[in-house]
Parts: sequence; structure tokens; C-alpha cells
Amino acid sequence: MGNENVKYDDLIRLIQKNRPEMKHPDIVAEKIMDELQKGKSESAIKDIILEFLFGWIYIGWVRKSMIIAAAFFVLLFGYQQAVILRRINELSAQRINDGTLFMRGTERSLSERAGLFRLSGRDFAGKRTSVSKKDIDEMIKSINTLQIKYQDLIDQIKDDPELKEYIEKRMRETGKLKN
Amino acid sequence: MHQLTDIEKSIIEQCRNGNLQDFRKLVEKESPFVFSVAFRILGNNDDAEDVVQETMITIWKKIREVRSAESFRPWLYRIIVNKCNDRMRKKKREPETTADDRTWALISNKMSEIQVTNLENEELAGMINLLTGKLSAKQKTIFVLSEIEELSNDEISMVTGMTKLNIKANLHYAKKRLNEMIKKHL
Repeated sequence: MGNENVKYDDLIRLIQKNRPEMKHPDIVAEKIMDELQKGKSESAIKDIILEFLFGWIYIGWVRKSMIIAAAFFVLLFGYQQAVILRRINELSAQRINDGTLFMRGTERSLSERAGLFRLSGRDFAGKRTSVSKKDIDEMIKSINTLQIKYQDLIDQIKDDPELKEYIEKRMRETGKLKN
Repeated sequence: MHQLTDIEKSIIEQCRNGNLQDFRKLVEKESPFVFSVAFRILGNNDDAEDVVQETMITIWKKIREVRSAESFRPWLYRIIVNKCNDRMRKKKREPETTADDRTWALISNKMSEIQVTNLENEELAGMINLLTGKLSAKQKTIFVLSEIEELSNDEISMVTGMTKLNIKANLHYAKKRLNEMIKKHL
């Protein structure tokens, strides 16, 4: 055992005494300085952000895992936002029916609607609108209800030429009756 | 651990202020040291040179994090060890070096003329790979830092983040393995 220890010590001393030397230290130094100059002039924003956010992690695999996890959460957030926007878009486009009136939700400008459709990953259909048969039936039904409710009023207006003339004049003024 | 001279401290302080000219001086001064540590851990000339480049670039990017010139050397060791570990992890699947009789003969020969011996990098690489080829990356790093770089367990703990008990256990295993090889081949 003693002999092995001596040999071990000799071996370690042999390696210690022979410090490996760089063959071309100038070339390596030049490469390093070139790399730094290039990096400095380019000012890589990505690296700066990554260093700022993850510079405190020294262990390579932990740093990579943290970056992957952060990217995943950002993507998840983006996806959730898109889903929420699509849902809002669907809800705002739904009919509001109070039994007598038939109307659509809040109207949006064309560009606003296009933006929302694009964000939610759907194709924007332009001016095309599809209405189901059921919707049309309900619309006709609500118009009929309105006509029945206001029939008395219409009859009175018909019987009184002065009132009729006055109403037509007011409607022309407000642009609701065309000649 | 090697103590810094006043000139080295002054260069480090200048680098901390973002002076690239002074950083060149630091590169010229520290590159041979970084190379020797990386070479002893990795046992490969090209990989050690790559680690020198990566380490020096990291130093430039993070030198402001060094609290004082005194803490520079442990911090430098930590960067070198991390870079070497990354490299060893990438090379994990490469075939391990097998015991080479010619290298053992060379070791035996050089040990007998220890006073005058002067090893080439290739010879040294062969020796290191032969001796540490069967050790894990962790054992290899601790063996080099403790036995060849002669760092204390406290310093190794500071560099690697491992507990002293863990360091002792890994070093014990590495020494045992080496003694077995010596017994068999020398």
C-alpha cells in the first residue's frame, strides 16, 4: 500500500509540474477580442434581455429550463388572450331578443372587427353575413307584433289628414321618409 | 489559491469600469491559466481553447458582478468549471478512452526521470484521459481541483457549490480508482 501511495504522489507531481501550454495564445486572444468587438457593435438585444432576466443563474441546464418555462408561459398567456378575445367576439355578435325587439349586440367598425378576427386566428368574412331561417322567422314574428301593437295609432293617423301631414313633414325633416 | 498581484488587481478594476483595452491585458494574463485548468479537466487541446474563449467572453460580460478584485480568482474557477461541465455533458455519449499500454509505459518512464521531465500537451492529454477516463464529470473536476490545482476543500466548495462531505466522498472514490489503476499497471 505504501509503494502505491509513493507512486500516486509521483504521478500527481508529474502532472502538476507539467502545466499544459497554449500553442497560439496570441491567436486565441485575437479571436476573443474580435468576438467582443463584434458583440459590442451589434449590441445583441436578445442577449442583453436574457442576461438581465437569467444572468443570476450559473448552472447551464437550470438557465435553459427557466428560459423554456418563461417562453411557455408567455405563449400560454398569448393563447389565453386569443381565446378570450374570440369568446368576447362571439358574445357581442349574439342576438338580443326581449320578446318584442330583435337586435344585434354592439356594432363594431369594419377594421376593429377584422383585427379581432385576425387575433383570434379566424378568417374574416368581409361583408358576407349568414342568417338562419329561424332568425328570419323570429324577425318576421317581431315585426308582426309591432304592427299589431301600433295598428290603432296608424288608423288614427290615416283618419286625420292634418296629423298625417304633420307626421310626414317631421319624418321628411329627420330623413326617415323619402319622397 | 493563487493570490493576485497589485497590477492584476488594477487591471481587474479597470475592466470592471468597462475598459476594453485593459481587458486585452487580462486576456493575455489569464488565458494560459484558464487553458491549463480546462486542459487538465477535459484532457483535450481544442476543447480547452474553446473553453478559454467562452470563459473570457463570459468574464467580460459579467465582470461587474465581481464584488472585489480579491474574489476574482474563485469566480474565475467557477466559470471555468461550469464551462468544462457543459462541454463534458455534451461529450457524454462519445466512447470512453480505454487503457492504453503505451501511455502507461510513458507514465512509468517519465516518473522515473521526474526531475528532468518535460511533457508535451499530447502526452499530458493522454495521461489525463487515461487516469480520469473512468471517473464521472464531478469526480474528475474535484480530482483536478484538489490534487492538481491544490485547492482546499473550502475553496472547492465555493467553486462547485458542493458540500465538503460530498467533495471528500468524490475525492476518495477518485483516489481509490487511481490507486487501483496504479497497482495494476505500474
